[in-house]
Amino acid sequence: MKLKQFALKGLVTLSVVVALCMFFSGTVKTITTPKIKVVTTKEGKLEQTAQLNAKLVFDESEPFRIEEAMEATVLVERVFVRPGYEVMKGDVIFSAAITDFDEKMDEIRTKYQEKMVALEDLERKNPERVTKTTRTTQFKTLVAAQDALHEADLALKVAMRRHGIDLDLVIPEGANELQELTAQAQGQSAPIEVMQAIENRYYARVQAEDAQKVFDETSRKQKYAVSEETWTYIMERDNLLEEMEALDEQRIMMELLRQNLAEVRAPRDGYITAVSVKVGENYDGKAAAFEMSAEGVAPVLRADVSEAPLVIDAGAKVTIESGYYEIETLVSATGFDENGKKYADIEVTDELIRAKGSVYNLTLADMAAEVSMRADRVTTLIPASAVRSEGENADFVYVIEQKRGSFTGDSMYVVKTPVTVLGRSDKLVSVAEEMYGARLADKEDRAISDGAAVMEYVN
Amino acid sequence: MAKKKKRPASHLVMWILLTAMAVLMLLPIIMTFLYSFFPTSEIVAFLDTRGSYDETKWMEIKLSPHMVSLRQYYRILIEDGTVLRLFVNSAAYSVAILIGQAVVIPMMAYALSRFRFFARDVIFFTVLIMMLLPFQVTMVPNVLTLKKMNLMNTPWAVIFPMCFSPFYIFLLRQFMVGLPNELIEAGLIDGAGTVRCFLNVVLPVCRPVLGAAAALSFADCWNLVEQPLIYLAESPALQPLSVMFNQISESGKEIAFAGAGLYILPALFIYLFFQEDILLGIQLSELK
Repeated sequence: MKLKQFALKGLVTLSVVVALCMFFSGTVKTITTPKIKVVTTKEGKLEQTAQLNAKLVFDESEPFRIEEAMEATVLVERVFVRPGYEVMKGDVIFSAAITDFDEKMDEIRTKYQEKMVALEDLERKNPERVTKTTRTTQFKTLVAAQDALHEADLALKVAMRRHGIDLDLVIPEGANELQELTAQAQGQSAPIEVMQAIENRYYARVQAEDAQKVFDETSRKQKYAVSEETWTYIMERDNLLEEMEALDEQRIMMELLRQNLAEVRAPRDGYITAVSVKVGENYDGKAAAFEMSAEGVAPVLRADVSEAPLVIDAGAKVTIESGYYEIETLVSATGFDENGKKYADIEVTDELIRAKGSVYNLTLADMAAEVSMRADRVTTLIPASAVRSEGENADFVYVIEQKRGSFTGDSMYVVKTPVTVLGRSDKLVSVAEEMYGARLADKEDRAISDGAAVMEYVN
Repeated sequence: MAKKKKRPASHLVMWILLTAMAVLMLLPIIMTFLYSFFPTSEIVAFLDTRGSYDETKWMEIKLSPHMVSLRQYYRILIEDGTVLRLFVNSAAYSVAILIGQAVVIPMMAYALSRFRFFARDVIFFTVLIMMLLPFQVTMVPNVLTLKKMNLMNTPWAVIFPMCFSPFYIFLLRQFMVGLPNELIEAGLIDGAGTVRCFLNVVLPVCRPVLGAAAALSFADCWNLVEQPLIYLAESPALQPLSVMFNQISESGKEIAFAGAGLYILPALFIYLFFQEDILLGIQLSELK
């Protein structure tokens, strides 16, 4: 009987001990064992992202200089464009005025008048040509008509140059000047201003030729002896005429310059990349007044990628935030600047320009862009937080192993396993080792080491 | 003065022989408990030497640790509850099976021993056959049946088949056959019905053999290996401690002896509790 009581007491005691141990073992194990989150490796192509600041640049630009401005004092009155503006051919870039235009024109006119007076004096010194009143009157009429023709001719030349019209002013004998020039002008789509100048010149020429005929008829009745004085006269007259022609050319140029500067226009389609002229300042014509993007060259967003955490190549996907939208574009090219720093050019798409309003808006501030690179080959992908490092090229992970078939039952412990990191993104790390499906320890609640027993987080 | 009776020399020889056999039989149990108090590092280092024998030397037998340690017990009882969980599994299976057997087996044995009904002998013969067939033979039909009942990988897959243990039906039936008819007739005369006779007359009389059956059945349940391995193959958390002993390997040997010590205790207490019943029950059931 004593034996039965002993056995009964033993069983009860054992039951109590086991119950207490069941309670405390769970508590103790939970407290003492590091908790981890179990993550499983995957296979795939790593997509890495990097945040970049990109600036709008034009890879090539063409400077535009107004050389004629060197001949005068030019004051910039208004500037209509800024870098980044897209302009069409003929759009006004800026307007300027020649501050000493009137003085220069007066100076030329004065010189011209002086030569004219000298010519008249020369004519008057020729007694054969000035003694008779009739001839004198006819001569004056002829001079006036020639003056009118001269003015009309200048006006036509200015109009032609301003509008880029090239007319052959030498009319074949027998051809009608008005018809000939009108046809040429129409062939080049000349504006009304040019057509009017052609007509004015024609009628001025008709009048001058009529006056010349009258004067020549009168003159033919006189007989002249070609004396030495006459030759001297002729030479002096020719010199004076040449000088007067040069002065005319100066007047043409001045007038043309005045008109051109009043509205300096874009020579072709493109983007303004730089504007040197400033309102209220003089422009001397020695440097470019403005620059435009090279023909056919589109602007790009250029980002310094020399310190980017990933290797960026052409074709990489780029995302740019614009309000509630995300604009997707691509890296069009990469290269190295003069300092040897690598840069990436991001394509400026029409969608991006529309989203930002204009290319000019892209120049106002650096653009934040997220570039994504997808790896070429499939590798093992591990959550970034599960990859630890002991220094450069000394990365490792803790692989979870299971203990089975022993007294300890199913328990987990970690094995320190070195890995070769191929690339990193914010969330994932690509490693060279084949570890697909491996279970790794992550986000432990305390330090763990190789071989340490671990428990998985509950909830 | 009474002269002390001199024992024959053959008794002394027998005593020495039995003592030696007892020591040999108890030695594993003693060693188990002894090694359970070794520090884990020492017992692991010691066990590592077991695989490499040197024929020129005597194999080292350690009988005492350098330092007595409860680390193994601390590990299985406090630090890691896995062994305890399996221990409780074993206890739960044993209790559940014993309860099931307590309900089924005495009634079936009583029916086969006392009543005359159609095919009674066929049923008894079947029980005998079932008792003689090894588990490996009945395993496949059992698995198919349990699958059909959706009981595979559940605790009931272990409990249900064990509730109908043919050996204990046979044991009790043999005992009940030997009960005098007058005993039951007296009960009937006193107005007891069949059930009352069974509960109040037969079962109290069968207490020794019931104790023996309970003790032996507990040992069976406590040492289950094949059934859990087959029926609970996909549910390792439900398996009993006996299965985990069966799977002991390189890992876990540092606590193997403490685990074994813990594992022995319930069986030991149960045996001590039913020791007299076992002996008496076997004698009365004429199985000796």
